[in-house]
This record gives sequence, C-alpha cells and structure tokens, in this order.
Amino acid sequence: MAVEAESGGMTRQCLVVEDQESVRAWLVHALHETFPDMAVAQASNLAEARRWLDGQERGATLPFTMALIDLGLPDGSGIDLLRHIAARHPATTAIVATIYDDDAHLFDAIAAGAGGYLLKDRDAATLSTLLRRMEAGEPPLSPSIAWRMMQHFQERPRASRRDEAGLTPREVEVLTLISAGMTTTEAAQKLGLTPHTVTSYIKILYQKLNVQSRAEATLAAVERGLVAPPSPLR
Amino acid sequence: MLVPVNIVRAMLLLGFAVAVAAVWIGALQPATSVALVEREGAVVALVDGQAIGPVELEQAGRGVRIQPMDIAKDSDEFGNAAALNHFYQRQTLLAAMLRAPGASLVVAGQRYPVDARRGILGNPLSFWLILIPGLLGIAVSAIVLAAEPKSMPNRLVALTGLLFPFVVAGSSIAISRSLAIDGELYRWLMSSHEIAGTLFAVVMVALFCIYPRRIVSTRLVWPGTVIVALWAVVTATGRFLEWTNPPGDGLAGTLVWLRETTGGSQVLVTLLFLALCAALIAQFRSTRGDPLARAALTWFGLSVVLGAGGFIALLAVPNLVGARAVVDGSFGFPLLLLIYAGLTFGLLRYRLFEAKTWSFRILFAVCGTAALWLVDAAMIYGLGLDQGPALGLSLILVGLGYQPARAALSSRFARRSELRRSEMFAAVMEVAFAPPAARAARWQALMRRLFDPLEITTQDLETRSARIAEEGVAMLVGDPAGGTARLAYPGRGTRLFAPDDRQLVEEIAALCGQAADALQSYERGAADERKRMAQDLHDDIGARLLSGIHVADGPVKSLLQDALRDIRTLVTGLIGESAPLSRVIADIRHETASRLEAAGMELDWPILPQATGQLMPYHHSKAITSAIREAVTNMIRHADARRLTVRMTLSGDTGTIEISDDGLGIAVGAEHGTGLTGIAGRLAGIGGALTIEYPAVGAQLTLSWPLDAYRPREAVPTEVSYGR
Repeated sequence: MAVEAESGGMTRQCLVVEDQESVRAWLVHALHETFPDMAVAQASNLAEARRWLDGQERGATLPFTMALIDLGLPDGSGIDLLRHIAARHPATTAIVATIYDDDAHLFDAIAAGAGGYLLKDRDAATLSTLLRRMEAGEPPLSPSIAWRMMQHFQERPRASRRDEAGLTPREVEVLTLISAGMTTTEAAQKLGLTPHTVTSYIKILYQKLNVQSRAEATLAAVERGLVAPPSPLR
Repeated sequence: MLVPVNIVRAMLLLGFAVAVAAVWIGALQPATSVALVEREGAVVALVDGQAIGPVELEQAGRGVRIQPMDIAKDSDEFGNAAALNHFYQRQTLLAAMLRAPGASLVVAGQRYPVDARRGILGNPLSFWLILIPGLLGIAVSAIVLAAEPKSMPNRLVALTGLLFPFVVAGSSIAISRSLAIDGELYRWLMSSHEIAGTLFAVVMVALFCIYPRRIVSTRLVWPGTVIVALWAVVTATGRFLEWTNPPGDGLAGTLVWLRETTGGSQVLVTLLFLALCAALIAQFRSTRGDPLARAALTWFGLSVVLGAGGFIALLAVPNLVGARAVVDGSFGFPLLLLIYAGLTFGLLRYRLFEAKTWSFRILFAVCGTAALWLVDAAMIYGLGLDQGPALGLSLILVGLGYQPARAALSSRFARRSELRRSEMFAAVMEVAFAPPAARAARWQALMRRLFDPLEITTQDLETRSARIAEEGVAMLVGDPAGGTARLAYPGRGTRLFAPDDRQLVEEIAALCGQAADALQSYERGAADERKRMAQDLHDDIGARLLSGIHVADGPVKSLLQDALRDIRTLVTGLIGESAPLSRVIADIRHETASRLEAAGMELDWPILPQATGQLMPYHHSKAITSAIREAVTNMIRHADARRLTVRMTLSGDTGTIEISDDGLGIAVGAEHGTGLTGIAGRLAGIGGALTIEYPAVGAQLTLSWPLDAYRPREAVPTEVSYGR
C-alpha cells in the first residue's frame, strides 16, 4: 500500500513506515505542516517499504531526504530498513518513530544508521521542531543513550585497524555531560560552546557509532569468509 | 597418622605413664611420722613446734644416728664421688631399716613409728609440686606439636615437653623422700633426671637457634646439637657410674673421670643457659622490624630465661660453687613451669608456633575424655571393694546417677554431628537458593555442619566437587561460587577424611546443582512471562493510547500522554528490576530540563559529580521519578515561576532532593488539590517522606528516602525486544 504522493510543487520526498493507520496519518499530517514542499510516501510494513525503496533505486523523481520508521512492524524490525537506507541512501536522514525511548533499541537503531529518533506521543508543535532539527543534522541524545554510547566506545575503542571511530576528548565531554542528565543547551553552556556545535558533535557521535557498527559487521563477515576484503562501503 | 587428637593423646599418655610410675614408686617408699630438719649441724625432729634432738633410727635393737647428710634435699650437694657414695650407702642402709619390721624413730628417748610404705596419698606436697608442672608442660607442648606437626621448631618444643616429665619425675621422688629411699633407686632417679634435664637444655638452645628466625645455619645447628647431647649423656653416665667405678680405669672409669674433670652436667647446663641467652639476644636483634615476632620472642624468651635461669640460680649455681642451696629443691621445679606458662600465653596471644585456637579445644576434649576414663576406673575400683549387699546399692546408684551424667558429659567432649536426611535437604536448599554473594558462605556452613573440621580455609584454585588431600587430613571442596574450601581435621581432629566423605560432598553438590538449575529455569520462565506482559503492554495498550493522543485535545491529551509515560516506566520495571541510581537521576534531570526549556523556564540543577554504582530497585526509581515529574508539572502549571532549583544529596543512607521555585508559592493548607498528596504517598511507599516549606518567595519541596537497601551494581539490566 505504498502511496505515492503527488509531485506538484514538491522538491523532495519522505517515506513514513508505520503500521497503525491513525498514527501514520498523524505523522504524515505533521510532515505536511512542517515541510510543505515535501512529498510523503507511506508504507505500513517492511515489504511495502522495500518495494518503494527498490522503485527509488531504479529511478527517483525527487530527492529522497527523510524517512520516518517505526521499529515494531508486522513483518519484522525497522532496524533492517535503517541499515538498508544507510547503505543505499546515505544522503537520507532516517528517523526512528517510537513509543518507548528505551535505550537498548534506540541505540541499536542509531548504530544501524538512524539520524535521530522521536517519540510518537509528543504534540504536533514539538514534533515539528524535532523534525526540523533532525533534518538540519541536530539529532537528539538522551542520557541513557549517551551512557550506552560511552560504554560502547570505552569497551571497543576501535573496531578495526582501518577505521578511526575512536572518540575525541571533546566528544567524551559532551557524552559525559549528557549522560549525567544535561540537555544539549546546558552542555553547550557548560563547555562554552554554541548549542549548534554541541549538536554537531552529537551528529558525529551518531555517525561514528554507525561507522563502527558497520565496520564491525564487515569485519565479522570477512572473518567468516562471507565477504572478500576490502569491502567498499557505499 | 598425623591426626591432631592422636598426637595430643599420645603425648599426654606418655606424660601420664611417667606420672603414674612416679606416683607408684613414690607410694612404695617408707615414711617417718615426724619431720626432720637440720639445726646447727645436727638433725632434730620438729615435735609440736619444738626442735628436739638427737634423732636415731632404731630397728631390731640396732640404732643409727641420723646425720645432716641423710636429709640433704639434693644429692648434687655432694661435691665428690666419695661423699656421694657415702650418702648412697647410708640411704640404702636407712631405707632397709625403715622397711624392716619394728623400725621406729627415737627422738630424745621418745619413739615414733615409721611406715614401710607411705601410700599414694602419703606422697608429700613437695612431690606433687614437682610432678604436676611436669604434666602441664607436656600438655602445652602437645598442643604445639598438634598445631603444626611437620614444622621443626614445633617438633623441638614437643621434644622439650617429652623430656620434661623425666626431668621432674626422678626429682619428685628423690627430693620428697622421707628420710631415705634405696640408694640404688636414688642413683637411677637422679641419673634420669640429669640426662633429661641436660637434654632439655640442649633442645631449648637448638630451638632458639632456629626460632623465630634461623640465626644459625642448619649445618651448624644439627651436628652441634647432637655433639652437645652426646656430651650430656656422657657426663650423666659418668655420674651414674661414679658410685661403683673409680675414675680412670676402662670405659666406665674414663666416663667417671670425664665427668669429674669437666664439672659434670651442672657446668654443662650453666654453659647451655649462657648459650641460650646469647641465642635470645641474637634473635631479638634479628626480629627487628617484625614487631609480632619480637613480641612473641620476648614473651617466650623471657619466660625461658626466668624459668630456667631461676632454676639454675636456685639449685645448680649454689651447688657448683660449693654452697648449700638457699631453697628447697621442690620450689625450684615450679619455676621450670614458668617456661610453659610463657609458652601457653604466647600461643594464645601471638599464635607462637602457628598455634591455632582449635589446638586448645583438642586438649580440653582429650583431657575431658581422659577424666571420664579416670572416673570410670575409680567407679570400677570402688565397686570391686564394695562386696556383698553394698554392691547392689552401688549398682543402683551408678544406674540412676552416674550413667546419665556420664552420657551428658561424654557428648560434650565427643560430639559427632550427623545431619538427618530432612535437615540435609533443607540445608542444601538453603545453599542453592541463597543470593550469589551468600552462597559460598552457606556452603561452608553446611560443610562445617557435616564434617566439623577444625580448619576451613578458602583457596584460590578451582576444584571440581571434592578431593581428599594430605593423606586424609584435609579435603578440598569446590564451592558453588567457583572457589575452593580446604577442610582440615574432620570431626574436631578426631578422624581423617574417607572416600565416604568425598562421595557425600559429591552427592550434595549434585543436589545443589539440580536445585540451582530448577531455580534458574523458574526464574527464566518468570522473566519470559514478564517480557511477554511488557510486550503486550507496548503493542496493545501503548498503541491504543497513542491513537488516543492523536485524536484527543487539551486535558485528555495530556492525561493520555501521562498514561503512556507511566506504561513506559512500568515496562522498564517489568524488564529490568533495578537501574543504576545515577542513570535514574540523569534521566529525570534530562526530562525536567527539556520540559522547562520548552516552557521557557530556567533550571538550576547541578549534575552529580560522578556516577554512583548503586542499583536502585524498580519501585524506588518509579517513586522518585514520578514524584519529581509531578512536582515539576505542578510548578510549570501553577507556580508562574521563572526558575526551578534542584539540590540533591546522597549522604550515607539517605537520599534528599530539594526542589524550589521562585513562583507564587503554595498557600498553607492548599496542598491537597495540587498533587502533593500523591507525591507524599509515593515517597511513603518506599519509606521516604515529603516536606513542604513555605518560604517568602516560591515553594520548596524536600523529598527524602532511604538508600540503605541498595546493592552495588552487578550486571546490566536485561533487554526486551519490541515488535509484534
């Protein structure tokens, strides 16, 4: 049931993957309100979403810049879709739309290439603000995710010799402050930076996590003889 | 068998045998009924406090005047062989007269009867004063040997203990004699005393050459000890032969000559004592920087110097210089006991010679059973005498009184613990169901109940089930926590470990493992069930609430949002029961900061300086999170404040969070409408409290709750997968 949006006056397009109809409608509505020039495609499960993505890969009419993806879908996990988008559509900001901000799943989603997450129970105004920020490359970071990131990078300072996904001292500072319960704005004040700089650090953290998890996956695949090294990362 | 109880038993038995022999020999000796003392070069009798003389021994019409030399306490007084021989001959003569029928002591014409045998109770006080310390000495050294039978210093101490009864037994009879004992017996007794005494001194010196520090090399200590010991035997033998052999002729004569020219064992003992002092001084120096060893040395060394030195000063030195001993020899011997008193104190206080507290328990147990045997023997002896009608009465008395009392006493000294099957099951379950931290301790407690070992130590190696080690003295038992316990000396040191014991441990370990597995699968099942519930909450109720949020307006919407947030917390609670305190606080702080940011308010809430490792139980984190959330909601909605201040302290066993604002404040008595009752209720649920203050500007809430039940962090909370 992938619904193609009309393309009159539109400059880019977005995919919403959500199995609940009312919620999907609400998300689509919020997207229309926030980005009037964005065409919105809808999918209610993984299969539909994949079909739509295949169509894009064969030939896209509009640039595919954003995806809102629910994690719990009837035919599987949205994480797979996130990986797919990160690999095939690196320019797309994939955002996780979820009810629960539990750190384990959001962390996995970020490692799979999500560029942010939003809680579906927020009101429309908040949702708009968050969407705009994430499109601008300002992903959110909750204390528990920050804490988990820190754990992750401490345990595996470097996934392999080839990639350089270790953390810089500044990034560690940002993670520490946020994992102690500070907001981005507060952390910026504390570090004497602009909130924008802090969010750009967070974006880098997101990317490093993704790069590292992909490097780990590749390394594991190489070790098992599934992929011939070196595997070009798209 | 190096079973401690057997060591103690064997040594005590030896000491006991020597004591019995001494008592028996003593009992056979004759006795006079009046006390004889020396006054102005003549022997007088003390009759009713009056010194009357002269004293004669009369038998079958023959009378012998008693001379001062006859009542000499110590034969060492006689400087040369001739005098000694004369003394022995007179002793033989007097003893024969005392034993013969019709003997009596004539004091100033008055006749006093004599006993041919003085009997067990006729042994005088001076006899017991010498003998009893000997027994105590052997008991203490038995403990030392039992504690560490393979250690050389402990063996040396035990050797002194073995020699000690021989040192005192001979003297006890000779010194406490009443006028005379047979000269030949006298000679044997004094020789055994002399050999044992010099060897005792030799061993003491050897001991302090290697204890507490090895200050003389082993190559010197052992040959030296052997040579000096041989010398001691030579001089003592020379003394023994003195009576019958003149110096010079043949081997015997050479030995006698050797003794007379070297001054005999008195010189040797004095020299050994000086060597002992030198060794002690060297030890004192070498233990510099080891206060415990030095304290132990000071105690034991001082008691040896005082005991042996006092003894030598009182008895040996005066004889050596030809003077009369200033005190009765029987008072010199208890001085020797000082050595063992000091040793005992050192064992207790400083764990000298690796002594263990159980060593003393063994001694008490062995003495206890020995005492029971003695009473048994006395009963049998007594019954044997009570012939005729008295026998029946005695038997009744024994049945009614003695038997039950004996059984009670016996169970005190030789308690054997046997767990019944039902008790065993309960004990095993106690181990299996214990929290991981307490499991090893409970396992040890069970092992203690089963085997009653004197020692349990934990070892840093991995053992599967059980293994008997050190020829049955110990058993290595793997505990459920992965460590190894070494159980040593089972049954309070009365037995060794047998294959049966190992099998029992293996059975228990298997039972424990099965119980733990069952518990684990039960817990897994329970966790699965909780996960399923969490998933259902997420998928069904969560989705419905979410749909509701998107169609509802105003207050209903925020109500539904709150409901969803609660479900979120609840799901967290269902999955992982506890979370690190610092993360719980970080989450609520972040949420508060974001909400205030959206509401255009300032937040002054310093972050925790460092993460605390304590795990907050779910109901605590829920209560605290909800309470703060509610308080912040109140302030955003009703207070019209610009700034929210939060101060948090975690001191000792109490957590305190103060939340204040600069808004309108709370009207006194208006708490009920503002959700404060709910906050107070939540805090009360975890044993905490809410305090409301009414400052001039704004309001202040103080949340406090107890932290004492929090555990340190163990593992990351389990995860749950969402989705249909």
